[in-house]
Amino acid sequence: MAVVRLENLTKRFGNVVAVNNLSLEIKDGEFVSFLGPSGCGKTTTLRMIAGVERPTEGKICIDDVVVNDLPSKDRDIAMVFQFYVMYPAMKVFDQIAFPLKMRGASKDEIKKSVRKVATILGIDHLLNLPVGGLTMGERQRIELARAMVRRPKVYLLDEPLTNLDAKLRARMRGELKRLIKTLGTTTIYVTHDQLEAISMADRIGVMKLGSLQQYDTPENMYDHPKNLFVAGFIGTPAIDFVDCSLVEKDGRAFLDAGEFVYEVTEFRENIVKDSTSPELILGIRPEHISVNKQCAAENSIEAQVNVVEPTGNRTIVRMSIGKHPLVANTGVLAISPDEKVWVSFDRAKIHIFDKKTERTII
Amino acid sequence: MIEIAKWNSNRLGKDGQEILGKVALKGITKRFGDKTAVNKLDLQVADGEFMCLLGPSGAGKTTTFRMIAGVERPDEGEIYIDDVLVNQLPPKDRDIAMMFQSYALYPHKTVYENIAYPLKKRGLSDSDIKNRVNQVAETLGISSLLDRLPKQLSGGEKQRVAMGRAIIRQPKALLLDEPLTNLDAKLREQMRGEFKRLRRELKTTIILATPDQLEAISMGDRVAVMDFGNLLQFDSPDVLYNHPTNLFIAGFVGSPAMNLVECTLVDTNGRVLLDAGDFTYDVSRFKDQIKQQATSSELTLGIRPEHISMSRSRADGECYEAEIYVVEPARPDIVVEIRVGKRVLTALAPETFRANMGDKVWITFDQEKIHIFDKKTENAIV
Repeated sequence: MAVVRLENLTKRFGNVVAVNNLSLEIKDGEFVSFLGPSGCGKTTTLRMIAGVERPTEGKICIDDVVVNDLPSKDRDIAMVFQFYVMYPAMKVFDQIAFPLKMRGASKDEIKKSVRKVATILGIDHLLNLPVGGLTMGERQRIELARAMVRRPKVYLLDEPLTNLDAKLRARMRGELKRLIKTLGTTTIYVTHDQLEAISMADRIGVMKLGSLQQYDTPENMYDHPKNLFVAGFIGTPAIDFVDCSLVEKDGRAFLDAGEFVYEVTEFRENIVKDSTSPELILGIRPEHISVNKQCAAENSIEAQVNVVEPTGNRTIVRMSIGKHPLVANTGVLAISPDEKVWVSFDRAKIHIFDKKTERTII
Repeated sequence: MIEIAKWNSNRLGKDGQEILGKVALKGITKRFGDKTAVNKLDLQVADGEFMCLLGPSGAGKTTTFRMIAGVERPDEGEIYIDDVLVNQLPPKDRDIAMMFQSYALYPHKTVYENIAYPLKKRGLSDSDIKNRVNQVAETLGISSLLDRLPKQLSGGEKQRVAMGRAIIRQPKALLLDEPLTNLDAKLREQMRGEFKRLRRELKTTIILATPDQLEAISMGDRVAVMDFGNLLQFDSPDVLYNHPTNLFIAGFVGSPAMNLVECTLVDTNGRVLLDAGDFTYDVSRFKDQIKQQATSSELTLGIRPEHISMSRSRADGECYEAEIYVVEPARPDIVVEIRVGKRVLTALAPETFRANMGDKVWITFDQEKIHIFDKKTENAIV
């Protein structure tokens, strides 16, 4: 059992509040990611859980035991950081086996565990080599193996895939997720890469300037962001935001974006109820915009294509509606710059935010 | 998003002649000791083309650049810029501008001074320099940064300054060596679009080297894929993606990568099948092509993740039972790894897809999108 609970966790460095009143619970066996831009407090939070940083206020509990005063080595956690030290002459096998040896495990047990983890991480062919000559990517996986081979209550991973190239990273995401889910250990994974977080985690805690913005499943974070920041941070290409005002005419409601007008009559009640003013922001994700060469639907808006980026199975189309930029992410599309196209938004997928409070209304 | 001012509607030189920027390499070879860095390279870049040189580290991209720029001499072959043989011309006379990964901005000069430098070296008047620098800065959206020092700039800003310095002389061709590598993911994505926009305004021939296939296929008019000094294929992104001529390109271009399954060709009762051990696939319709081009019965079947469909129920035709190995709910397309027998294949699913590790599904391959490669020669057959 390894439930991790943070209660009103705060960390100040002088006048800077690095972590601000953070409360959340990580269930046993759950894989949670702390996600946010640099400086958001995610690594500081991890370090407090690890015990290398003391909280200024608040409690950290592992299985209902307050561990604030327990040194790292007594918390039964394994950490994998971005930068680590390895004895260059030591063989990879021994590097990974080290924690087990320290624990006094049998030779057989060590051999089995090390081989198993090394195979999953794709480094079994390196076991007899000294660590010294290996690439960054290989070293990172060795470090992961060393953490995985112990069976602590909690794994704490700080951007463990950062030093790998794009292709290897993409491959390792799936493998690592599977490894962690199979081991079933509670895992906390810090990253600034939203794709990594949504691909791997059971739940994600998005942080901004020390404060928790939303703590939810990847699906909910993506489809139902609670505020502008979360909506804009998760998803690539990023969500399209359009400033607009709520306008009512002849019993119908519209979002007036200057260059175009979008009908939102069916959302009118909710908008009026939850907004603090008629100043709103319309949000639509690039993959929910359809691009047509002819005016297809009633709500179609005319746009001009500026840049077309084929990405293999999809196409990123950068357009402007008058002066408003708009990015769409469609399937394979034969289209050229300077073409005039008609775009429509998937009505079920639009978001509306209150411009002042930045909270989600729809 | 930066506003692009009209930089130069006609690329005219001093004498009113249009500045062309054709680059041609014929049989270019470069060796370092017994290592052949570039091997008999034949490449024609059209005037005004945005060409991407794609390949992993060590493929020979930077060496090729250095030879075009003139800082490295080829051991064999000819380099032509606008049909003029330039092998003997020193870098400064070739009218090629090169931009490095590390930008190499002069740390003690302001942005203005950095960009003005090449013109100052040429002896242009101060007022001419000022005009040009302002024009370039406006095009690149860095007018407000002219008084700053490099250390006061963000990564993206430094890049634009480096570009400004490279394009200010209106070179015949601009060589960009991995310009986006040092940027974080979000900035990279933004810069890709900006580069492409910028390029339409600049009308200069651009050759961009990158190890990142997404960068190459999203930006280039044509992409030249290199590996170990050899040119493997030189085509539009569309053709490279849909008709890779060999195994390396098939696996390198596209992410998630194409599924490559080793199989043996089997002839049974008039039907021709690919036997992958864990499953078989009927390729009777390609029988003639295979018989003509295959050097043995060892073949590799290729199918892209987006061309594998998954369903909870068995479909007609060739359908295989698989187990969900891991689901990565990336967006817009969900990445699903499925296990068929002992093999793990990668598929893409729409955002509505929901499944758990261990669930059973049925998968089918899009018949029109199969690739078959000869295992030994690695060449594409279908």
